[in-house]
Amino acid sequence: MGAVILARPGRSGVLSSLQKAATASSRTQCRQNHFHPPVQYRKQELPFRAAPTRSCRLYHSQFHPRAPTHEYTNSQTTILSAALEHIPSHGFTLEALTLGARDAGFLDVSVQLLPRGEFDLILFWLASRRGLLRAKVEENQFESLRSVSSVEAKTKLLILERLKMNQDIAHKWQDALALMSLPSNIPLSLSELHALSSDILTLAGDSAVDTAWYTNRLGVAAVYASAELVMTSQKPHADFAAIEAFVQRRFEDRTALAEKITGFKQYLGFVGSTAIGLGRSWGLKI
Amino acid sequence: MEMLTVRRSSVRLFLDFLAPSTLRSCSRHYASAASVPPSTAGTKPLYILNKRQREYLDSALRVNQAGELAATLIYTAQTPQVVRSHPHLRPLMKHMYEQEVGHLNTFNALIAKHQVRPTMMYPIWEQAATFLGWSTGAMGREAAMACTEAVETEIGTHYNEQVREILSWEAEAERRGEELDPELKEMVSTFRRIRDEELEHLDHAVENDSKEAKPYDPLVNVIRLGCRVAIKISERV
Repeated sequence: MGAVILARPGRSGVLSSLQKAATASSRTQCRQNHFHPPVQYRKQELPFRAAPTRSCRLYHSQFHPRAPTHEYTNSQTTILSAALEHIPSHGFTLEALTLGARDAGFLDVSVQLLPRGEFDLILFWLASRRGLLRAKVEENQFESLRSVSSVEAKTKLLILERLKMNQDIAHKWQDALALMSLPSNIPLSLSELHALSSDILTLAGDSAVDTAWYTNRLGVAAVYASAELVMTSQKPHADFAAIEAFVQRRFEDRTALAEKITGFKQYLGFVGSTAIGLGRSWGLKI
Repeated sequence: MEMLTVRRSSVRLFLDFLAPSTLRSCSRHYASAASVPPSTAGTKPLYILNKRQREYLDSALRVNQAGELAATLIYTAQTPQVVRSHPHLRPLMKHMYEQEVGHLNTFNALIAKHQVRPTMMYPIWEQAATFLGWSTGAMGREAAMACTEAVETEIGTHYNEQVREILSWEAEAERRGEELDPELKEMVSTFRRIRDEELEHLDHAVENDSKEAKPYDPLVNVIRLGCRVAIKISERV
């Protein structure tokens, strides 16, 4: 166990040497970069956030980047990131969390640090994949994205890239979906889906500033969620081409629906202008 | 202990943004030197916005966009009717409309740049603004100008409050030996410029007999109340 202290909720622990070092380096780095040093906790207290907070999209700029959707303590992050490696074999279970805790050098009982248990692991998986997708694009590791210019094509590529990240755990994803569909978990699950669709559209360069902002996010969320569901019904390690074809069909459906709506709006516009013209010809002051 | 350190660094690429702020090193995504352009790196430290201030800017940009959308649509609906009976007003209506379109484009760009959610009431405000413009235009030139006066009074007041709020942050930053970031400074000057142009529209409306509208007081008060309600709704929804 050494320097790693197990911090239980409601108990005061001592900051480990790792945390002290991280805090110190963070403080000096922040001072160099003209940012306020982080809050200093008393030595007896470990910063503990029991549950991830609901995502809230606020004003964002290069000077004021958006705060992370879910914040975990260092211990929680360590356990959860170690547990990710056990998901393909053990699924989103308490067993995977326990093995993750062991790998990270914690006691088995330290999974009590995660009040939501398996659902915390699911949220962490979703948030970490989203972070990985963002990092891939921002650090120019996504070659195929640069070869396309349209927002729709980029969106499709990003959805497929995110789905590829689920390939190793697709056979375990149905259990995760079952947990996510519990009434108490639905708000956070939908919040995470919204965060993903929002990130995908932002990375794709979508600049909608009207009602399309909502319809685009709804469309991406629907395509992604349905493709994810199709993935779970496939055989393990099945050919990804079927998923690509499915996503392509969904995008074609979206385009067709958009065209129908546009056509209907144009029709209403023509009828309206004709009615106004008729009214004017009858002497109405329109 | 060694293993723990190695594990943490191996997953840093995509898990840094999940760690708590106390332990998060100033990475690329969060408050880094890369975030600050070289020109500002040697001067005063930057004033960091808190959650409340970011929420304020979020709702301010959302409301401003909705307001400019409404103003543009009001002029679009008013112009044909006003110009038909008063052709000499065509240049004025065109000038005011073009300025409003410029303001709307400015806020559309800011909304996209700062990843702010537009108001959910967008389609409703579109219909309401078109109806308001059309109905006041049908009531005559004076009513159309009274509508402009009422709307611009509310919008001007609202911009004033926003400028005052951001300037209070600047004063607080100076007290702490810090400074606002260039984007915010530019935003304040944009708000000021747009406010002055809106108040110029108000002057034009008064010059063109907005006070002669029948009935003046009920019309202006109802429109101003509607604007205040729309602002409150757009701030939240």
